[in-house]
Amino acid sequence: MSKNVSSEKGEKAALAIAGSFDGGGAFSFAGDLEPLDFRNYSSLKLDLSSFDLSATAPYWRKYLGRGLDKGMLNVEASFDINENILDGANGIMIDQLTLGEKVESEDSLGLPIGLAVAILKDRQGKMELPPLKLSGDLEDPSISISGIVMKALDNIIVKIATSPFSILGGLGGGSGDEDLSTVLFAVGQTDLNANLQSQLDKMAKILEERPGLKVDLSSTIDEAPEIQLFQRILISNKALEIQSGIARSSDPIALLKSYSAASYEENAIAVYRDLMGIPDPTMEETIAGVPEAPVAIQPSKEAPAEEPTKKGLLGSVGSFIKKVAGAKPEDSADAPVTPDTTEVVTSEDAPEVVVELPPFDEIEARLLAEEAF
Amino acid sequence: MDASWLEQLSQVRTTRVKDYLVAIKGIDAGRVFISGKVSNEETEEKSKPVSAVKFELTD
Repeated sequence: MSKNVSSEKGEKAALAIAGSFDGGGAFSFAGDLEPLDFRNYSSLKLDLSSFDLSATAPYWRKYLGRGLDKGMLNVEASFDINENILDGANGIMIDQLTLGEKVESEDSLGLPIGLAVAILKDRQGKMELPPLKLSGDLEDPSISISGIVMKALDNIIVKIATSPFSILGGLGGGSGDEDLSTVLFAVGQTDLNANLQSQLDKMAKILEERPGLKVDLSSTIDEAPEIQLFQRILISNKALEIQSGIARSSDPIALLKSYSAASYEENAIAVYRDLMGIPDPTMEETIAGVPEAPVAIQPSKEAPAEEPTKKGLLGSVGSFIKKVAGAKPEDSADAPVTPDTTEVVTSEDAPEVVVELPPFDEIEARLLAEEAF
Repeated sequence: MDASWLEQLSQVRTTRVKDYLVAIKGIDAGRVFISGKVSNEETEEKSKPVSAVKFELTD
């Protein structure tokens, strides 16, 4: 039905059209426009309900590369055209959309329609598309209404497929702003703490609400700190082996559970002592040939002029032992008997050897260089 | 050994995430896959590599 139709420029006519389709569904189209120049002025609303999409299956195969088994389209749209400028918005809901097989089509737009459907289709089989904004200058010969619609659909489908969590974030019960696509682990962490569980709860909710979705898990690793931790675990394990004399598990994950960061430094020093042949003062050992001579080990607060080599340090200790025992150093009778890294403190009862250890970072570097684990 | 450690770490993390979704939250196991991919993510010049399990949604 139309009213107030006039051929005068600038005059508007009211329009109201309603109907139904053979396969079911109904539509109404109403508003007003300039009947002889609708591009100059139109303001229309379209309501389409339960339109059977199976009639459009050939277009799905041609442009989307997928068959269409079934689906009912519902649209609420408004279009305003003023002096050739189109401004429109659509609310689109598709009910029970079921895609068919993939088909080859030269005209396929290559859109990830399967993923888009899985992301949008809820447990009741309803798909509500994000608001579809239509705008453009109809005077521009490169622009057509169908082109504008296709471009808007393309943008929506690509956005859905490339940023799915921006569409789905709100379903998980959170603010919708957080990045649910990545579950971050601290260095060495394997357990799911409360924070990670909370994030996974939201992901589970999304999967619950979107039964067509599947999820592929992959892992990324920040290698440097993870490898450093691993080396520390091995060093700590080595210390425990030295202490107990029993070989321990070599399963890294099992070792991770028993690793104590608080004990690492102490353990590393123990392994260093073992590597360099420096006796452990807590063992109350005596050096051969030096009766009742306790050896005290004292970590240095400052770096020595040179890091002692294994040979050098042991040589120094050996030189001291020989001096105490009355023997000459191996290398030369004139060689100094007091090494750089060794202090000799004597008392009335027994001499005490204080071996200064290098700073801890040097100890650690030495253990890593020697792979002493 | 380092490579083995990193692989095991990755495997344990992805498996725990999958187990949580499947065993605790009741998601069908046929909907959660582990790709086994391990990468030191440096997709952007300024991005810092992270240790993480990532979700990719598929249909």
